[in-house]
Amino acid sequence: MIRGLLLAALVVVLVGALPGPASAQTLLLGAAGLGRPVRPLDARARAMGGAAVALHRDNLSAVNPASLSWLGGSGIWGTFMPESRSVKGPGISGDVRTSEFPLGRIGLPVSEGWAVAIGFGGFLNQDWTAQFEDTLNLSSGDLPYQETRQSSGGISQFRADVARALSDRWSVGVAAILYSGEVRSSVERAFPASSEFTGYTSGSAVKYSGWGGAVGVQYRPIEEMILGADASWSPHLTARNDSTGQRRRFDMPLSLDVGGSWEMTPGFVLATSAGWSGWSVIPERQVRGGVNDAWYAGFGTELRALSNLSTAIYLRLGAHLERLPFELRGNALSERTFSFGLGGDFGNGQGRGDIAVELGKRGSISDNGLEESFTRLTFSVAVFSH
Amino acid sequence: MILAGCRTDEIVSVDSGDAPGNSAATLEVVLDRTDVSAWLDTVFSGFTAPVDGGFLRVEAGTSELESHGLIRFRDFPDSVLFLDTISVIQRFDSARLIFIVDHTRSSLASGGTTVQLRRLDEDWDPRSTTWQIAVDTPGVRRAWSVPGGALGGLLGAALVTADSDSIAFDLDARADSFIEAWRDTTRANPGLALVIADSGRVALGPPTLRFGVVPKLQPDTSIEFARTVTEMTFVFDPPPPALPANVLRVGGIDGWRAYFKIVLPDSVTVGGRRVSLRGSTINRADLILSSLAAPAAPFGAERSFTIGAVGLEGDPGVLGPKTPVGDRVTGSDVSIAPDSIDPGDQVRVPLTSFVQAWASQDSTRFPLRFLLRGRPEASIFGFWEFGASSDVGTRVPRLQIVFTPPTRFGVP
Repeated sequence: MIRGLLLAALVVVLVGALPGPASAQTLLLGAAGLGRPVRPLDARARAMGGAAVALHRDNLSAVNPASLSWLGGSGIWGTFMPESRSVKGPGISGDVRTSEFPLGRIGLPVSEGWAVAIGFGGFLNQDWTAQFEDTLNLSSGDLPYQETRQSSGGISQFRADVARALSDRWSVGVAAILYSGEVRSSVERAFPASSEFTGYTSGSAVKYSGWGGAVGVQYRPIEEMILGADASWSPHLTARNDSTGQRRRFDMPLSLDVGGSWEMTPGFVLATSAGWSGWSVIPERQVRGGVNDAWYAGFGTELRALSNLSTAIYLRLGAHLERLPFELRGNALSERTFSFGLGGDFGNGQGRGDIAVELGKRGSISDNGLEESFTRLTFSVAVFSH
Repeated sequence: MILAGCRTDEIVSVDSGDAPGNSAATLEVVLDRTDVSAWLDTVFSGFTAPVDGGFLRVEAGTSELESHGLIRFRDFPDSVLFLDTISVIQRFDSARLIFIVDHTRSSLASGGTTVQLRRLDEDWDPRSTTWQIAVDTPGVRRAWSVPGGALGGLLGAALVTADSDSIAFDLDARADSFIEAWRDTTRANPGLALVIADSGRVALGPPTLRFGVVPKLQPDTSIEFARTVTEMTFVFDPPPPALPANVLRVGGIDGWRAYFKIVLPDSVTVGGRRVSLRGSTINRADLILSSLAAPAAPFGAERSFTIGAVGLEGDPGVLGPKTPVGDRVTGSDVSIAPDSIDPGDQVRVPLTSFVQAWASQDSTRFPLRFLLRGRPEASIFGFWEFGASSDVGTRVPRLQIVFTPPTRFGVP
């Protein structure tokens, strides 16, 4: 019965969130290449520097399929991630607010040692809006105008994970991933109302599709330590514009993640993870601005600050460094983040809520011609049937 | 260009050269008859007459024009409702004819201009009457016995000065005989005439007749009624001059209209490359007319007026003045101000929505067909003139089109 309710709830989550963004978003960096990668992390992992490959207790992020094997019970969880950022650089400025749903899953332990999960997660975000003013030189005189170029949408991943606990120490998992999404591009030119010029608007949509898979493993050398690794790969991603009939295939990268967490003392956990994605498999000619392999490294701690029989409160700190795959002005972009957060288990583990706050910067004015300072909040809610 | 300041919304302001994404390109072409497949412009008139103007022009002694106003009242009642009882009318005991003076198009002699109210002795047709002709209808054509109307006896006179908002003529002693005559449908009703006794030009609005009715049931009581004029026109001399060659004429009391048929090319050359006009967004399209010198008095527009474009449902080159008229071209109205327009000045008639409709069509045989006319027609006595396509140099009409071809979106 509970599983039935959870499945029904998941359908609602999927329909309500499909695919990716929760509202019109803007990220000028998303204009580079195929967009900005969005990892399907929950707020706990975000607060711990993105260390999501191997974590003590339930690991809700959709990174390592093997992490499902130690799921404590059936559950459904989702994440909401608003972000505000300030963009600046020579000739560029703007304050931007965005929001998206980077993760929604349902997990079910199905029999002794087996668990499955289905859900969606972020993959590539191409939301941005750019605006400028210029002047038309007409025979009847100069006419100012304002042009707005916009890209809205992205590519999400829909995944089905299966995990098996081989023993108390080992577990493995696999995932099938469907990549799907749509990006709508538009350009709008507006003239002063007093000119009685009619504005111009045009737009088009590009649909993306592809498939891939992931495998993962977790190993617990001692009770207090978990090590993990995973790999994901997709043969290619297809972009097609139905209105023009154009189609293009992009080779997709092999991605590798490693990580671990160590409960040094009861209630105090150190966690880390690092990853690499071979995005340079995409030929330079296919991506305007250049492409390079991406990598990240993250580190975080978690302290159980309060606990009783039914409730536990956790405090978290983390840091994250990432190199993004698509270049701006011929140089790679990096993202630096400091994070902290708060989480709680309630009702004997049947409810869980987490909040993460990340303060960071992306890009640099000297290398990329712009810099973004951002504050990102992540909210995750989970319900379990322990 | 830098968009100053930051915005608290979801837009990033950038330099125009740095903006990512697909761009728009707004282009301009200015076409005359040599740049298009066909360009026809021609002029027709006679669509309106002074009866449509809604005003009376009465003039004499100005050396420009002589003009008489003609008015007629009909349809007076036989009975009146008095104290919930219908009573036969015993008599009409008073009548006062009131006109509003339109000073914007009046020209008074120093010391004022005297307007006389006269009887008319001959019947007239309000739509076809002219200075020479009283009636010109199918089967009936009759000239005035005296050009300008066979004037009868003087009924009253009023001095119009710069301070006169209105003038009035009392017919009290003759009210009953006049209105009884106007009520009698078995006899002709020649109506009344307005003429200038000295010199000057007076424009008057539609008159109102206020009259008193004495019911037979209550012969010591008079009830006042008001009635607006039934028919009103004016006749003038000389008639408007014939249309010169190479001229487009618009407006005037006779309803001069300029008809156009322009076959645009599907694509045009801009900056050395061929660009499709059809399928583009038309940001603005203007018919550019070049003003000629003001028409000689009294036929130049006497005050500012509006001209606008109306679509045509047929080929004016084939159907001529009988070409069916379609819908107004939205946003095409433009004001012509005689006091501030000089020869050679450009008058732009916006045709954006009309050209956009053309650009949205697939058919390559769909030409631009429209006319220009005063709006409302006959609202002023005079007209204005522009160079026609058969003219030379910069006086020819041209079509300026600012357009944005479709942006080509592809895949990343």
